[in-house]
Formats: sequence, C-alpha cells, structure tokens
Amino acid sequence: MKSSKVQGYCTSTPLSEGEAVVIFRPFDLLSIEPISGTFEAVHEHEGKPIKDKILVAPCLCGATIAEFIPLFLSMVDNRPKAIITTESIAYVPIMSGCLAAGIPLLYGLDREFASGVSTGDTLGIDAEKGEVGLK
Amino acid sequence: MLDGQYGAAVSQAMQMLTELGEAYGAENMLDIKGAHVFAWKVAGDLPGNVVLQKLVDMAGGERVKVPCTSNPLTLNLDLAERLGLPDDLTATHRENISRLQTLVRDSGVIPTYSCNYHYPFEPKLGDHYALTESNVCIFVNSWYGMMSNMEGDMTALASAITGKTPRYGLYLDENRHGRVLVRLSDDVDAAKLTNADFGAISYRTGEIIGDDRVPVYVGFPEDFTATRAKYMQPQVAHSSSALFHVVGATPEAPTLEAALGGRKPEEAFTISRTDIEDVYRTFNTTDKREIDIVGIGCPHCTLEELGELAGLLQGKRVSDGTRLFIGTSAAVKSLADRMGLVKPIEEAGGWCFPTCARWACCSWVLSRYGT
Repeated sequence: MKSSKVQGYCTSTPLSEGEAVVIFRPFDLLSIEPISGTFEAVHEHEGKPIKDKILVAPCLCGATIAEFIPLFLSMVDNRPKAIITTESIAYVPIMSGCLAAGIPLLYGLDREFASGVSTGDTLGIDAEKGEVGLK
Repeated sequence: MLDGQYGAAVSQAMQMLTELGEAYGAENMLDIKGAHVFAWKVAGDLPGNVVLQKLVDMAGGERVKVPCTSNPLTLNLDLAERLGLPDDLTATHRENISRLQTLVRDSGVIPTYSCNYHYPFEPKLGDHYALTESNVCIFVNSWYGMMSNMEGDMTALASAITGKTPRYGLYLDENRHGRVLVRLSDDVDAAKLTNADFGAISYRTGEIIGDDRVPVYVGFPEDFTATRAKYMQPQVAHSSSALFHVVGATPEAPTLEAALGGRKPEEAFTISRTDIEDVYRTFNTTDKREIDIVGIGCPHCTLEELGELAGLLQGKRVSDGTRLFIGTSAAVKSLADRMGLVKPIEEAGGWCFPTCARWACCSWVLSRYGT
C-alpha cells in the first residue's frame, strides 16, 4: 500500500477510510453549497455530494469567510471524512473552521503520492501514525 | 488560561488556540500586539445568524486583551435609506448588524469597520498580530513586515480575548522567505502600471504558484506605494500565501538575496502584458457597453486614491443611468472631507461612503434587478 506522511488536525478516531474526491487545482471551500453539501463551480464534480468523502487538493485558498463552510456542513450532517492538501502549511481559516466542526484537515501530503490518487480511490487515514494510504 | 481561572470564554479560546498550535506543530504561544476581527459579512440569512451567534458565544462577554480593529459591516445602516435598499433586505439584516455593533462595543474592539489597514496601531517590523481578512493580513505582512498568519474569524477572536497565538507559519522567519521569483517581461512597462494592473499581476501570480509559497517580485517601479501594495492581495484567490515581497520596496526585501533568505528560488517566471490582459478577460464577462454601476474601494480606498478620484472627477459629471460608488473607512472619509476631496466626487454625482463597497454595490443591483 502506498502511503504518505501528513500533519494537521485529526479527530480522535485513530483509523478511518473513505472515497477520495480529487481536485487538481487550489480549492476554495466557497465552491461548496453549504446546506446541500454539494460542489458548485467545480465542473468535474458539479452537484455531487461531499458527505463522507475525503477531499484531496493541492491547497485551499480564497476568502477567509470560507472558514465557516465546515461549520455549516457539520450542522446539516454533510461533513466530509477529511480534507487533505499537499501544501506545507494548511490554510489557517479552513483549519479554524475544521477545528470548530470536528472535521480532520491534514496537510503536507507528498505531491508524488497525491498525483497517484484518483477520484473514487479508497484512502485510509491513520491518525496516530500521521499517515495517509492508498488502498 | 486553560484551567478556567480567567473565565469560561478565555478557557475555550485558549483550548482552540492550543488545538490550532498542535495541528501546526507550534512549540509555544506568542504574545500578540493586536488583532483584526469579524471578517464575516453578517447578513440576515441562516448562515449570518449561525456565524453571529457563534461569535457572540465565543466572546462570552469578555473584552479583548489587545488593541483590536474590526472589518466592515455588510452595510452601514445609516446609508440603507439613501441607497434605496428595500425593507425585506434590511429587516433581519438590520437586527444582526446592530447585534454585531453591540458585540464590537461590549468587547472593546475599535470600530474601524474597514478592510484596509489604517492608523490604530503603530506598525513595527517583526511585531506579532492575529489578523483575519485576507487583504488586511497580506497588506500588513508584506508592506509593514508585521507578522500574522491569515486568521479565520474564530482564531482571530480567540487570540484577541487571550492576547496569545501559537507560534507557527508566518511567525517563523524561515516561512517568510520568498520561494518563487516573479519578473515582469519586456513588454510590460513598469512605470505605466495602473493599480488594476498590480491586482492582475497578483491574481496571475497566485494562479501560477497554486500553493503556500511566498512570491518575490523584481522590477517593480520605484514609486510602489501603500495603495499599490493594497492591490497586491488577489494572489489568495488561487494560493494560500499571505505574504509577498517586492525587492527595494517592502521591508523584508531590501535585496533579492534577503527576500529569498539566501536560498535559490524554487521556481521563476515572468508576467507578460498578455497575462495581465488575460486576467481582465476572465473578469469582463459582458460585451455590454452601458454601465449600471462603478464600484471602487474593495479593499477600502486610501486617501491617495480619493485624491486621485477627486482630481479625475473635478468639473465632470457621472453619466445618466450610471451609479458611481466609492467605499472607504470612516477615518479616511473624515480626512478626505476635511481636505475637500469628497466634494468634487459628490458634485460629479458620485457617492463616497464609509461602508463595504462590494456589499453596497451588490445590494444596490439586487434591489433594482433582483439578480
């Protein structure tokens, strides 16, 4: 199983897995409609739900107010299982929102590893080891 | 603070900052000199209600421990009638804005209500701050060399009521060094760049970088001013870097070597005139020649810009059917009034208001066209 070390915030569950949704460019969480929990303005995933998925993107970006998207997703039970990026320091507003919403946000994913992940793949997260694996 | 001896709100805020520090591998907490809070544009809708309640709960009746400025309200309530906004837009909206104003007052936040950084603090290279609002953070980091991560509303408020922030990210010197070198190509005349051109250069740079690496610009004009630096924040539209350096202009870039921290750049590219024009094409989504509204002041206009606008509008008239809206802070508006800069704008038929320019423009369009 290929794997990559990661850092960041993870909830207490030591092991979890989920289906990857991969976005190949910097991602603004405002591209998610918070109440329906579906992608907007992301043409390859338009209208698809984020619930229980593991979102993989090179980095998170955009307005600081995207901080509250994780909170809204959590309120209406549309939480993704995790958000993972390849950046060396995760975008702080989203970390702030994920902390408040209890959504794992991991960063530092190896770029070569990330390039081998496709939408629909199953990813495993080992919170204790700080590792993400492709199953 | 964690154990509750300073109250529940301080304890919860410190708990959040501790978790934040753990997520980023911070080794200790820093004392901050100031903060900027309340970036969320609280409206009268469900998200607005949720966010407002969250911020009220977090503040928990505490007063901020450091000088703290505030972002613009969605709307300056005093202007709603003059803007002709409908009652249904402003009913719950009014109530929420009023609650936020009360929160600002009761928590001891300075009601600057501006997304541009003005006056309350004495800027000093290397001082630690906790600033939300992307353009405030990029501007302060880059232009003054003050240190802040690009905080969210919640982490900035937590820092404001504790006076602390975890030491990570842009508080560490090694993370402030430039990693990407950006030059202007030969077909770009630096001396003729407009404010909008600087915004386009920043936007295109963010697109190319696409992560959290800090760009270093060379070849910018010698008169690169604070107003021009203000236009250099669109890099966050496509990247998560809250800092840039301009060699010879910003304080951490007296030389290229200093800006790069003595290292070689990981990547280098040039911005051409075609790059700049491409950005304009991205945003120009209509061929329609009639203009309904011109909005200037996002981020809020500086005094320098108001002076330029006053000069351009002197003795002229805004076209019939076109609304000119200029947004700035109350502090700058007051100075501009005293300097006679607002008068020629208003005599030309323009509006110059201390409120959020984007929200005011959008509300005005919504009230007339419903879309």
